[in-house]
Parts: sequence; structure tokens; C-alpha cells
Amino acid sequence: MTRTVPLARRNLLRQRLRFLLSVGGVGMALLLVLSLQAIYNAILDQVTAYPDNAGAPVIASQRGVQTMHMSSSAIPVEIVRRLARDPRVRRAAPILYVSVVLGEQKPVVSYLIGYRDGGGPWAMARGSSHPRGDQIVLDEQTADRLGGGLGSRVTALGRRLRVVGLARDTTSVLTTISFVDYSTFAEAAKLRDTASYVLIWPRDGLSAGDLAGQLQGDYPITAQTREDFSEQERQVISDMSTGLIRGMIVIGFVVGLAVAGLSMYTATTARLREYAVLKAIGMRNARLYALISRQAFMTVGGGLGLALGLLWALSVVVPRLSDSTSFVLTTGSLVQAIAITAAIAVAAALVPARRVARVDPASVYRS
Amino acid sequence: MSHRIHSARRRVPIGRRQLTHEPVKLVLALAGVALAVALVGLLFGLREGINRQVSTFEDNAGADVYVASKGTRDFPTSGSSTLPASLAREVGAVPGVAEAVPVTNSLGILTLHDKRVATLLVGFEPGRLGGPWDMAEGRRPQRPGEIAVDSVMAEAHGLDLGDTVQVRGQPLRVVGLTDGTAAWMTPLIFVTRQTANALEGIGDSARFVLVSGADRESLATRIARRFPDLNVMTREELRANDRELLSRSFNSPLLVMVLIALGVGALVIGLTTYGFVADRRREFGSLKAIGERNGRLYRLVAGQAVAIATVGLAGGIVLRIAAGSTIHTVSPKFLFVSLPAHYAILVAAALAMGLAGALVPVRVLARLDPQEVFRR
Repeated sequence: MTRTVPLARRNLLRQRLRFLLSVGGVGMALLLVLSLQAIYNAILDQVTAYPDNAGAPVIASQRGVQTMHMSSSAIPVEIVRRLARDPRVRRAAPILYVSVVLGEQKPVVSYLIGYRDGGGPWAMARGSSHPRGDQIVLDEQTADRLGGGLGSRVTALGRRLRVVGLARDTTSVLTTISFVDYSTFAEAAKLRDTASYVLIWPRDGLSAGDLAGQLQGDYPITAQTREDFSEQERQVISDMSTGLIRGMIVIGFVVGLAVAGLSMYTATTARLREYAVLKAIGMRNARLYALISRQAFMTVGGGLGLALGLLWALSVVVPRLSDSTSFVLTTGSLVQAIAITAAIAVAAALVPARRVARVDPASVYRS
Repeated sequence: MSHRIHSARRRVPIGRRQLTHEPVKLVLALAGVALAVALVGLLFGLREGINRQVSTFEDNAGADVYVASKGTRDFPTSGSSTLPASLAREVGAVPGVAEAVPVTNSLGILTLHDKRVATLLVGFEPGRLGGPWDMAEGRRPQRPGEIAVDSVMAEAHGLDLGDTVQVRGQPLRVVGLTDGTAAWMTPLIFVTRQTANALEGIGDSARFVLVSGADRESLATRIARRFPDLNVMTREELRANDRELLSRSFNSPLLVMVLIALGVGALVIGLTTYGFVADRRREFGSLKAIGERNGRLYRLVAGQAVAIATVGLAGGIVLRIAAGSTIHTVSPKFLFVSLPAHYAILVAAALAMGLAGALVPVRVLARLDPQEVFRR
């Protein structure tokens, strides 16, 4: 009867503290990559909160403007009126939009939306979702940060506005969303002749994609489906952040490699006598490499597990400390982390390879 | 190493010999710490670089005081500030004002060879305050339909003089490439105020009135007294507001990254010192057997940990400077700026990593039996 001895596992677990330190080091290096990716993913999710939730299948903007984030748009009211009368359009709701800073002591960047009959808050925590006159609906967490609640006042558009509602799901690390009445916005910002965007609902039987294509041909505007608009928003963030994310992945990989290499090297050199014994009883170098590789995969795999666990813990703890920061792990990020993990394991196993290859089987008898 | 064991005539530098006995192990440990230190340094440097870039306009435009509508407190997100352009003449009449000029600015996304680039568009009055301050090539825009773009952005996206750029659906001809206007987040682009207003769909208005004059503090006070319904800020106030706004977005993700990097460094040092002790149980047992106390052995190991942290710190700082400089050369929109405070943080971080790493093998040392040396 033959039985395999789990040498790799026994080697690793014999000194548990060393194993835990190695797993911890690799895990932290992978966490560097994963956490940045997760923050980035959350930003991508949050940046499309308005187009995703405003309810309109088609969004029209000034020709050449495809996004809200870091953009401004102006559509003449005459075009808005024509859109509203267009037989292909069931409803056209203009909105005004600008990025503002709310608060003095703890300033918060906010998208300020002026709306009338569409495009207002989609989930309320408390109060009214329909601000009138000098009233405003704030995001619930933003109101907390500004130290106010229902009935308090904030300055926006040069006016003191009373908070009449607190909305939910309208904050992110980049910005928050606040809502005022369309007329209040237009009057305060002196924007009587233009709207920023127009939210459009197609007549029954006409798809959003078809309507967007037709409107773009017939009017001097950019018309996009909600999905295309959101994709453009994500693309802005993606194009800005690609360099940073890549840089962090490289750093995480190199740090992980240094830690895993150190771990494999120390674990291997501590057992050179044992490897000499294995060589003495006939084990070839290739099998020894395979043994070390298994240890590397177990260490780095443990590190990945730890990194995922820590990421989960961060996703619970950090949002409680900083309401605008959250973490989202996507399948793509996970696959990327697994690929990095495998690459680190393979490279780390090579670090002590030369040392093992040079072990003399006779050395076991020398001391 | 400062920790030496007495022999009959001279001290034996055991700590140093243990460290240098296995150079591969030492190099890997130093690499791990140096990378962690460099990463922390790069993150702080990048944040300071972005801080500097966000106020590039205020730093270079030449204005001493900025006038905006009430509630507008920073330059990039000033979209709600709408002032009549004629206000500049009234501001210009305030005693001490040398020049008062309306400027229309806005954020906008350009699509350049399928990449979206966020920009800060400045509409200025030709020949007056607020225009490009340093031209790399070409000239400043003077007429509608002309644009000057940041030269770093132009190079990254293959733009040249004479090319056409679509800004909010309008074709604008590139007549100049500007220097000192690069930024990772929003590089600056310049058009005449008339062009900017047409793009914004607003009449003869402005977002800011830029003011120059002597003694900016008292100048700002006089203008604020004359126009109590407007927000009057000195250049320093506006710059501080811009930076504060940006810092708030970056601080928590940055803190998470820095803490993780510190954790990596501490674990690397811990792994190394633990390896030294665990692999040399017999040697440490021998030292105990000849009378060394636990306290001296702790100091020996702590000395090794601090030595790794110190050399790793030095390597990390060199790596940080080299990496920052290389990244900036390859991609000039990324700026890394080191402040003395950053170095203080790195020293504190390395010390913390060293001390945390030194704690790891303490238990092993304490439980080490001097008789172990005689067992094999």
C-alpha cells in the first residue's frame, strides 16, 4: 500500500508563526491591489447614480457633451420645447445641473439638480422629495457631515436654502447629489434661456436606442440611452485612473513577490538538511522544485484568502468612518488578483531554486 | 550593529553577522521594507502634487483677488457663479485696483482619440489677466474659434498647432500650446471669454472677476465692503479652498493604502527577525547557556529589526525619488512633491515597522531553553 506524505503542507505548518507571517505579508500586498481596485469599482458604480436612477430611458445634452461628471451642458429652451412636442416623445423633463460646494467648515462637493417634473430624488430617508422656493433636498449623509438636518439651512447658488428632505443613495467619494426646484435654480443662476440636460421618455413601441439615434439626427443635441450615458460616465473615470491603477498593481505585485520570495527562501534554507535527505533517497531536483512550488502556492493562496477577508472587513468598517468611501469587488478584479497571485507564487518558488539545486545529498551526514 | 556580545578581549558583532550571513534573505527583507516606504512616500507625494496642480491657475494667473457670487468658494466648481461682465468695471473703480477682468471658466470633457480627458477651460480677455502665462509653441487665442491647450496633454494625445479640437460640439483650432498648465485631473485649456460664454450658452457674463493691485489683503477687504453680496477671496484663500476640496476626496482612500503599506513593512520585518531567531535557536540557546539574559537577546533582535528598517527607509526614500522622477518624466501630468513632513512620516513609519517587527520573535526568545543546545 502506498501513501503520499504531504511534505509541502508539513513543511509550511511546522513553523506556524512563520507561515502566518508569510501569509500576512503576501495578503497585505494583494490587499493593496484589491482595495484600490475595489474603491475604484465603487466609484464607477456611484458615478452613474443619477442617470441610473433618474428614470429616463434617454438623456439629451448639449451637442458634444456626453457626461455630467466634470462637465457642463446647455440646451436652449426652444429645443426643450420642441422635444416636448415631438410625437416620438412621451415626456421631456428638463433639468438644470451644476457642481457646487456646500458648507463652510466641512465643504462637500455636490451635483445640484434643479428639477420640475422628473429627475428628482429616487429614495427618501426623511422629509419631502419636492423642494419648493428656497428649499433643498440633501443627501442624508451629506446633511450629517454639514451638521444639519431637516429645517437647517445651507448656502447654494448664492441663497440660503432650507433643508426639507433627506435623500438616500446619493453620495459617493467624488460627489453627492442635492435637489432644488427648477425655477429656483434658473432664477438664482440666471439660466432662463437654457436647460442643462433633458430627460426623455419615448412613446410606447419606440425603443430608447432608436429614439436616441433619431433625436440626435434631428436636433442639435447629443442624445444617449441611459446605459450609454452611464457607460460614458464610467469611461471618464476609467480614462483618468488607468495609469494610477496600473501603477498600484505593479507595486502590489513587486511587494507581494518580495514577501513571498523572502518567505519561500527562509522556509527552504531552514530545511536544507531535509532537502538533502530527500535527495539522498533519490528525489530529483524537478520534484523538489514542485514541492517548493506547492508551498509557494499554499502561502500565496492563503495570502489571497486573507486579502479577501481583510477587504470584506474594510468594506464593513471604512464606510462607518468615512461615509463616502466604499468597496466593490467585481469578478474581473477577483480574476486579476488570482492571476497576480499565481504569478507571484511561480516567481517566488524560483527564488530558492538555485540553493536547493546545489544541495549536496552527502551534506546530511556531515553534522 | 550596536549590540555586541563580550568575549575575552573584544566584542563579537553577532547581530550584524547574523544579518549578513544570508545576503539573499537580507536583500529580500530590505526590498520589502524599501518598497513599502517608497509606496507610502509616493502616495503622499502624489497627493501633494495633485494639491499643487489643482491651484495652478491661481498660482500663475497673476490675480491677487478673486470675486465670485455668494456661495462660490473654489475655482474648478464655480459653475453656479454668474456675474455680469460689467461688474469688472465697477470693481475696477475701487481704490487700489490696478486691473479688474472678467473670466469665464468651466470643467469639461474632451474626447481625444477615444480617450476622455477632463479639462478646466478658461475663457479670458485677450491681452489681460487670466490668459496663458507661458507658451511652449504658437500664440494665445485672440479670436472666437481659437484654443490654446496644455502642451503635455497635446503631446499625450498627438495634438499640434493647426489641429481642430471639438469642445462641446464646437470645432476650435489649436493656435497655441501652453507650458506650466499640466495636471493629472484637469489640465488647463484657454479660449477667449467670448468663446467660453458661447460654449456655456450664457450671455455677457463671467464666473469670476480677477483683480490685481497692491496689498491684496486690504484690497480684498475694500472690495468686499463695496460688494457685500459677493464672495471676495484673496489668491491664498481661493487656493486653500481648492486644495481642501480635493483633499477631502483623496484622504480616506489614501489613508487605507498607507496603512496597508505599513502593515506590509511590519510583516516583512517580522518575518525576517522571526526567521533569524527560529533558524538560530541553537545559537541563541548557546548565548543563553553562557549567561546572556533575555533582555540582551531582545535588544539584539530589536537592533536587527531597526537596522533593516533604517536601511530599508534609506532605500525606500531613494526608490521614491527615483520612481517619482521616472513617472513624471514618462507621464508629466503626474507630479510628485515631497514635503519635510512626508520624510518625517516615513521615518516614523519605518520606526513603527521596525518595532512591530521586533516584537514578533519575543515569545520565541523568552521560551527558548538553554539546554536545547545540548540536545542534538
